[in-house]
Order: sequence, then C-alpha cells, then structure tokens
Amino acid sequence: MTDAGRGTAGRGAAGERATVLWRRFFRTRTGPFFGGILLVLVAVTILAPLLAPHSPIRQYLDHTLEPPSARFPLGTDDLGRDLLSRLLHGGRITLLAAFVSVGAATAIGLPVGMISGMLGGRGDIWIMHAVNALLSFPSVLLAFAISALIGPSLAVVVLAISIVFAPRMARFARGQTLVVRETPFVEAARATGASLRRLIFRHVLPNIAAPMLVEASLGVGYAALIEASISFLGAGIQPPRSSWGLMIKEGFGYMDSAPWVAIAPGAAILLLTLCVNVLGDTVRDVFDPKVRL
Amino acid sequence: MLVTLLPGDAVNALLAAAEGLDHRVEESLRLQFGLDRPLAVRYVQWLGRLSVGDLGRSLLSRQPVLDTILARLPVTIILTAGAIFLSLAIGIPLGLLAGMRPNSPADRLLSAVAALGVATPSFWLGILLGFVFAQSLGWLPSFGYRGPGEGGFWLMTQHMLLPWLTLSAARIVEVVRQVRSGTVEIMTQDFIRTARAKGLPERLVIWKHALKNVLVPVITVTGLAVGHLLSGAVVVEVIFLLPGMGTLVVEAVLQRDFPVTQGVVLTGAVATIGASLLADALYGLLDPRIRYD
Repeated sequence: MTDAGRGTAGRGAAGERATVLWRRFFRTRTGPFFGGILLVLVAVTILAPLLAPHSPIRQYLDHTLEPPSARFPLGTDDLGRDLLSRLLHGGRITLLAAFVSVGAATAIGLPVGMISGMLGGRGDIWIMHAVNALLSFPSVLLAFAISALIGPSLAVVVLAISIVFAPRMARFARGQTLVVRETPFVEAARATGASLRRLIFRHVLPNIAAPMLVEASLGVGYAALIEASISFLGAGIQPPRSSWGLMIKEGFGYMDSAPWVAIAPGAAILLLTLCVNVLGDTVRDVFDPKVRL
Repeated sequence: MLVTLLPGDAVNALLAAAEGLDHRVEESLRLQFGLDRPLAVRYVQWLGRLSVGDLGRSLLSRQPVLDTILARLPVTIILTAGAIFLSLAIGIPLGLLAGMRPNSPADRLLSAVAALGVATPSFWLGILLGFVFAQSLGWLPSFGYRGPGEGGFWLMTQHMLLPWLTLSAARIVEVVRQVRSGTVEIMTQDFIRTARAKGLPERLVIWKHALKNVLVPVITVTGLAVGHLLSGAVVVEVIFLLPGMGTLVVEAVLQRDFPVTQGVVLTGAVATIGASLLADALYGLLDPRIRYD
C-alpha cells in the first residue's frame, strides 16, 4: 500500500480511501472485466423493451422450435416465441428477483446479526438458535414450498428467497460483529459510555460494511440460482412471463429436437452468477490490505 | 428438537392451514386465518402427534406419510451418498494437485473450471449431461431408476451416474477449493519442512503428514453441505425422474398435500442437523486437539 499517502490534496480521508480502493480495483484484471460484463447484462435487461427484436409473448405459430436465424437470433421455442426477446425480458425478472431478495434479506439479517452480536449472552444465544433452525431447512426446498403454497408470483418468489437468505446474512453479520466487538476502539467507545445504538451505527456498521457487501454480492448469484430452481420446479414465475429458470424448464422437454431453447437461458444464468461471484471475490481482495494487487 | 421446530412455525403453520379442506376454500381460508389461533392449535396438534412418531396421512393417497417417506428414502440416500463419495473421490486428488504447485498451469486451469462450476445451475448441467451422454452419445440411460435389488449394482450405477455427477459438480468444486487452500497453507508449515529435512520421500510427506491435516476440515464442511445436497437432490430427481423424496415433495407441494410436504421438509431438516452433528463428532475424533467438555 505504497500509494496510501498519495491521495489528492484537499479531500477528506474517506475520499482518499475511496480513491485508493478504486485504484486497487482497476489494478485487478478480473474486476473491471467481469464488472463490465455485469453492467452490460444489467443494462440490456433493463433496456429489454427497446432492444428485444420481438414481443416476448408473441407466438409465431408457423415458426416453432426454429434454430437460430437472422430473424430469430437465438431461435424460437415450442410456441414460436422469439428466444432472444424472452431471454432479455426474462433477465429483468431473474435479476430483479435476485437483487431485491438479497437486498431485503440483508435489510433484515444485518440488524438482527449486529444486535445479536453486540448483545451477547442469552439474547444472542436465542437469536442464533432461531437463525440456525431456519438454516437447517434445505434452501431450495424451503423457498419452493413457501412459493408454491402461498401461490407463485414475482413478489412471492422474492419473499421466499428473502426468507431463505435473511438467516444467512444474520449469521454472517453476527460473526463479523463479534470480531469488531473485541477491537480496542469499540472497547474504548464502550468505556466512554457510548450507547448500543451509537456503538452499532458509529463503530460496528462502518467496519462490517465491506464484508457484508461482498457476502451480499455472492448471495445475488446464489439467489439467481434459487430463483431458477424454483421456477424450474414450477413454483416460480408463471407463463406467459419469462424468467431464465422458467425458460430452462420450457426447453427441457425439447432437448432432443431443439436443445438451444434450454441452453441459452442456462448460459445466461451461468454468466450472471460467474460475474457476480468473481466480482465479489475481487472486491474482497480490494478491501483486504494484506492482499497485494 | 423443539428448538428446531419452533422457528419453522410460520412455515409449518402455513402448511397446516388447510388440512383436509376443499382446494378452492383453501386460498381464502389461508388469507382469512393468517396466523390466527386455530393455526397454532393445529400446529401444536401436529407437534403432539409428531412426538409419538405420527406424521399423519397423505391427503391424496391416504397412505401414512411415514410409510411414503420410508419407501422413497433409499433412492435419495443412494443419490446423496453417491454424490458425496464422488465429490471426495474427485475433489481431493484434484485439490492436492492444485495445492502442491500453486499458480502452475494445472492450478490455474482448475480454478477457472471451479469458477465456472460454482456458477452453473445444477439442473441445467444435468440437462446438458443428459443431452450429451444419453441422447447424443447413447452411453447412459437418460432417466429412470433401478435399485440395487433390481438388476444389480452395475445397472444401478449406469442409471445413477449422471444424477451423481450433476449433484456432486458443485461439491467437487468446493472440495477442490478447500483442499487446495488447505494444502497451500500446510505445505509452508514447520512440520512439513521437518519431514522433508529428515529425508522423507515427497509422497510420504503428502500422504502421511499433509493429507491428514487437510482432510479434517473437509469432513466438517461435507457434513454441513448435506443440506445443500438435499436441496440439489430435489431438482436432480425431477430431471432424471428418480422416485425419491425430491419428486415426492415436488408433487406434494404442487398438489397441496400438506402432511406429505411437512413430513419431507421435516425429514430434510433432521437429516441436515444430523449430518452436521455427525461432522462435529467426527471432527473431535479425528483431531485430538479438539475437546468437547
């Protein structure tokens, strides 16, 4: 970290640190590369209505299960719908579900974990019992059951994935909090009579924000996989809407005659998860001053 | 046991809500009842019956849930156990290979493959494997199950090979990563240097000294991964049409067969907890430094 002292003059310590982190980020080759791909992915799905060559639900019934062509760049499915258009529109659902559910899970899990970690003692033990009990249910099975039983819709899918993820985030946040709790500066703050609230907001939160961010970004990839799994099992997004998992399900029956129907959405999930995972790992390294980049 | 079940409240209550009611009435009733007292009562009743080993009867087949689960259990056990075996049998040697020579071409190739492996939706991988090895090459059957009792071990293996590979893919990657990082760390330790210095052949250094230390955490993590494997098994069973607990629960959930759903989810949770307890116990046995007082 030889460049730590070379910050731009006239900016605050926080700004200086951000500059250093950015510089470290761009020094990794993987970070900007996969970050760029992720941005493109997000952009094309947001702009899906503008970019899609066809309507995602329009059925060209004399063009069913066609291989990729100039008119249908990724081919068509069994109902003659354009796969590229469905992929772009489905990506909005998959990405939305993944990001929103991980965000919601963090919003619930982070405070619970921090409070549990700072409280210690009996409160901590009981909260962690509850968290571990929730974690003992197989995740896909739990999300699938919740989603199917309430009645599948995008909101329910998001709710189900959030329920699966919130305890994970809580346990992670607690683990991080326990580390910060034992540091001298927290002890000092405690000794000067800082309230629990102040301890959490001033001292714990800023110090666990980076690892939480990494954990959440890794969670986005996993959430996309769960969404895909429950849609594949028939309890996620319902037709005629599309999500990448649902598209794999729809293509599954036509693997012998039209394998591209299932291959394209699977590749899209793979790409999304790969980007998010590599990016998460890179950001972890960027924040870790012990790692030389 | 009780602690485990308590936080499942919301879910179980949800599942218990419409026991024995007409399908159309169900939806409105579930909304109406919410988390009202009758639900709690039903839930407590369910717990009470559970304590004497009664899981109730299926709403559809009228068979006792316990019998149904026991009939399906062997398939899921064979699937999961085989996947665990494969993940260790493939993952450990590859992890050692990568960890012995960090940053060698083999190591880089393996970590690239690992990054891809983590990001691949397992069911999509299963569909692709089926497409390549069953449909295109015709080497293996693409679906169906033959128990060890019907046609012998080899016929079973032929049918299970693709499901095993599909389910274990993500685990193999995890094991490779863990063994790799463990090996890298161990190889710099003093006792390895001592072993080398006293002229022990490299093979013995690895097998006798390094491996023992690397494997202990692998066993723990394998125990903790049983929950993930069970989640994966649900999807894998659906793809390859295996008559296990996964296909059972998917049917049950989609047809709103609450007692069966509850039974399977509970069995999954018990298996998850049991496996992690077992891993903890093994951990203590294998590593004499760990004591449970």
